[in-house]
Amino acid sequence: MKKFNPTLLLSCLILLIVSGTALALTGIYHLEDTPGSTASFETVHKVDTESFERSEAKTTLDGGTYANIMQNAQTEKPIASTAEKGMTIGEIMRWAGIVAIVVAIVILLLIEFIYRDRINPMNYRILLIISLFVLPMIVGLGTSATVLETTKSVQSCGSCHVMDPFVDDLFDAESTTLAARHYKNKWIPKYQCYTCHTTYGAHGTFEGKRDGFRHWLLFVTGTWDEPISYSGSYPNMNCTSCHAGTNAFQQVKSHRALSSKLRADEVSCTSCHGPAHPTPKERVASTDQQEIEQRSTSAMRKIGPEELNSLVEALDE
Amino acid sequence: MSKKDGINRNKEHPTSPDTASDKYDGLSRRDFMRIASLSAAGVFTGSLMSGCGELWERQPVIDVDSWHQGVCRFCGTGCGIKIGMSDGKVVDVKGDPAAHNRGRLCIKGILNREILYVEDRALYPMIRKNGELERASWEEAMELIASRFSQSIQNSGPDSVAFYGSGQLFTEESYSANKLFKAGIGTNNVDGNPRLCMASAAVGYTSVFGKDEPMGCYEDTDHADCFFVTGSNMAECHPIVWERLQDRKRSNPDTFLIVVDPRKTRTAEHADLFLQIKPGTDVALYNSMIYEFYRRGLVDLEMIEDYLSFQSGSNSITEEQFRSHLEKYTPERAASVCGISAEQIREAAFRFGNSPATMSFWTMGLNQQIQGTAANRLVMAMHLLTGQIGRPGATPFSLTGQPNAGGGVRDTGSLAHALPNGRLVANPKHRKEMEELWNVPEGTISPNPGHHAISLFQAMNSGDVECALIMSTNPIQSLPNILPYRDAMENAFVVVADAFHPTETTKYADVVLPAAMWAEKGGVFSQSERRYHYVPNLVEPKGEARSDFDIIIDLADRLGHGDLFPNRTQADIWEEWRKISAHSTYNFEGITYERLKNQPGILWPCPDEDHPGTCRRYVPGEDPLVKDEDARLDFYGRPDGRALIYLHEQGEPYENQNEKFPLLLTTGRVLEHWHTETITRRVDDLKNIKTDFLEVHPADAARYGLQDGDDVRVASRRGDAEFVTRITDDIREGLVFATFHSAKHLVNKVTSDAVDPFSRQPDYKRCAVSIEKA
Ligand code: SF4
Repeated sequence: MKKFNPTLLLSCLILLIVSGTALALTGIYHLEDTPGSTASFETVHKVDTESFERSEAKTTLDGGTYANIMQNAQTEKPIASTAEKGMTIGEIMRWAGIVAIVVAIVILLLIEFIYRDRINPMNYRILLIISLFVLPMIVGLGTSATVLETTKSVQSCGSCHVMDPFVDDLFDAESTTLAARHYKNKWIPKYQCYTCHTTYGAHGTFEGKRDGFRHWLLFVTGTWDEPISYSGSYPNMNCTSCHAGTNAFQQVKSHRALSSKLRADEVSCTSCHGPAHPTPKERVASTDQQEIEQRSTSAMRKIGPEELNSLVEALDE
Repeated sequence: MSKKDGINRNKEHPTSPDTASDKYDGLSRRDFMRIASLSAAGVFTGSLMSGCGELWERQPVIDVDSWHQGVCRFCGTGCGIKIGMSDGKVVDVKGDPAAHNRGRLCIKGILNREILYVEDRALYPMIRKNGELERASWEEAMELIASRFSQSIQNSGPDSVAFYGSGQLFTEESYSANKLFKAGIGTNNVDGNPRLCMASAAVGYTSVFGKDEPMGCYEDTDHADCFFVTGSNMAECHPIVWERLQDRKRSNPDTFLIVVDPRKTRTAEHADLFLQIKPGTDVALYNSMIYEFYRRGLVDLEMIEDYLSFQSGSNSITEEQFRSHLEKYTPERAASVCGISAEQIREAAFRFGNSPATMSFWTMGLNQQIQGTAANRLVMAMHLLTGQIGRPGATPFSLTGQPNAGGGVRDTGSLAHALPNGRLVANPKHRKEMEELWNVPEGTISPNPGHHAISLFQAMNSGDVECALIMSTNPIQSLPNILPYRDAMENAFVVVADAFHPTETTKYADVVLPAAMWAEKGGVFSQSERRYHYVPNLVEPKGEARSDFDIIIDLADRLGHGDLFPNRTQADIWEEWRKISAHSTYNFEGITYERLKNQPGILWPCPDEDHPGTCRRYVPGEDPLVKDEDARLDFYGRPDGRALIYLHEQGEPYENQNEKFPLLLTTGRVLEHWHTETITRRVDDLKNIKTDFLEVHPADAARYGLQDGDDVRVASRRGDAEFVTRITDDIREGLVFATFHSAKHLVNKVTSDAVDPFSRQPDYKRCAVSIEKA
């Protein structure tokens, strides 16, 4: 034991941890959606937030809803409100991670270089364990939670171009799809895709991972079918967890008549209230429209100034 | 990767598609994260995948082997559906995203999946022997029918037999029955339930534009800035058209909705301006709105100059005469007639005339009145005078109630006064044309219009009509003032073909024939917007049931008119019919079975197989039949190309309230049930939806000592019926409301069979009644 040089070992460990943490922190900060990246996202998807000002009739929902809980915003009354939502789990975890790593480094520096000889070996070892294993574990957790949390954002879903028609529709103030209406009326204040597409509970988490994996496989192998469609029956629970408790829902006789079928997902809420997203025909139509617009812009750019002049002259004549 | 053509992957680099692929070279940060986390998940999931569906992908709750394009069995909205089959049974139905309904259905549409398998399906033919209906063979039943019909025709002439059809038969079926009776037997006694439902709109369109059916389409809803919904509870009766209207309001919240109705219906709850008029006073309201159009200068002078003529009865009048008649309808005077404020009328008129595009919707509230035709003509006049017509979003649009009243009955002319494609029995030229097209000797078609619905049942009662074939409808519940018509059923020899037994009508039948329904037979339906679409034949009929088409052809053979149908299949009949349509302004020759099977319907006119169909009729550039391409509009249905503005005065009610009958009764529907509940009442999920209620205003309830839930008897000069009191202030004081759905609580014992003088459509919307605790 005597030949063993703890200082060298420790220095190596510290170097490792510091560089690891630096990497993690860079990752965390990069994942954070800076105003810049949001802005560029909004340009790509033509978000016209001003046109959202006129909103549909006030939502009749009241009380804490699952959407709020999902977003860690239980305190908020109606989900229509866009007021401060406090910290999200992701933010808390991010800060926990940062604090943990800073504390770990400070402890290591202190016990190694200042208090090395002044504390008893038992305490030294405990502090070592804390700063080398426990705190880094928190950092690890914080990082994954942050990643999980940021992938809930609409931006994250929209980064895959397969989702373009859906994300574009979400930001279209004139669209009447369920998704767009929930978005523009702020019935779901954030994580709009995620809130309706991950079934709640542990089973939902499993389904979410499974679907994510499948989608990824289809994507990288280029084997998905256009137009993409929802596989299987949509779990109505995603809708009813917010709506079922409301008067507006319970008053509708058709809801009562179909209650068992709705519970069993034999009839989807979207059967009457859809479409949730643009129908395949509408997706193609909007893409065609965009293509036409693009073609005309590019055609315009190709006309040189001389040609333009001659055109104007021709018109004058 | 041709699959991805629908997706625009180059959005970020619109002008340089080549560089777009850069983004996909190498892994982006997020891709890396995704791979990292998914590899982990992959190890876990991969081990579980091994062919277990649910573990790999979310599965449908209902197993479906194949999906087929079809159409809803119920209302005139005519939603496109996908029918899911498994083991030869219909197991699932969902909306067709490619159809006009964008994949949406109402509860009835969804429950199409159950309707074939509910109880009380008629399974075998029955003949009444010693007062009881007894099982018989098809041969026996058809032989009896043929001999009774032949006997009557021989002894009392062809006008002693009749056909009473339905807006629920396929077009091929109505067309064949019409041909058999008019060109074979030689009687114009062909009418049907559309007389109770659409006749006023049909006469309205025909008299104003020269041709029947609306010129607009559902797509207009997406462009209108003001909606004028009058006499229609769209939210319950045409829920999916209503959703589209709501969509318009959602995407453009400034869209203004005016609702005219004596009840504060679910439609009216959403109105920006709600005119809760007294029933039967809307003619005064429309006149007053037209008065306001003139006063405010909202009248379109170009329209008056070039496209309109004025008419009073059968005489043409000048615009000045028309205007002087309007002087009686100042908003103040009309307000006192209608029971609303003058300010509301002014506001409604201003909104209607001033909006960039106004679209009107109406149904039974307008049609089922003794001034139904007048009301229809005036709503059309409002559009014509303000120029709110022929542009996207500007159109007078009448909604139909049944899945095939337009194409099946109105377009085929299966009505007592009509011949196919807008021709009239009374017009010798039209008769001759049809005789040539049908290849029958000149003079075959009788020059005398037949009995319209009410008069047909009266004739059955008096013995003038001895035999009748009733198909796919339940008149002994749906006719107004039914009590005397029950006797009519007793007096005549009546054959009823229906998919269900018992119904109020089969109860009184002499022969009941089991009919196939919906997907047990295939054929063409049409809905409100002139869209023809196809219902596929997917399953075997229940029991011994046969399609109505087979029954008609069988009867034709037995009556010796088989040569009218040289080719026996429905497909051949469709071929014949679409070719005949080419000889008229209803041209839909381009609509083939083949096309209909591959797309969710086509709107006529559609003259050739490459034509995509027509959204707006009479509009140059859209309607292929327009002759004058430079005109703003071309009302080619009229000889002079000018639509007619009719002068109509607000009439007196046909029956007065008095001390004995101090209240008014009006009737309607609820969303979940349809017509006489023959089908919907038998669907388990709908059994708890009540239709036995009578809506009473709280003040009236207090006056007659009624509590919510009390049994209440409604009586008129004709009969009485019992209901359960539902107290609500959504109804005007002095007015009570019941649905016509319930066979146990028959409101039609109370309603009146007074009819509109032009359309012969009865007035279900207003009769004098008394109420008392039962
Ligand atoms: S709105 Fe009419 S056509 Fe559409 S699903 Fe409902 S009943 Fe069927």
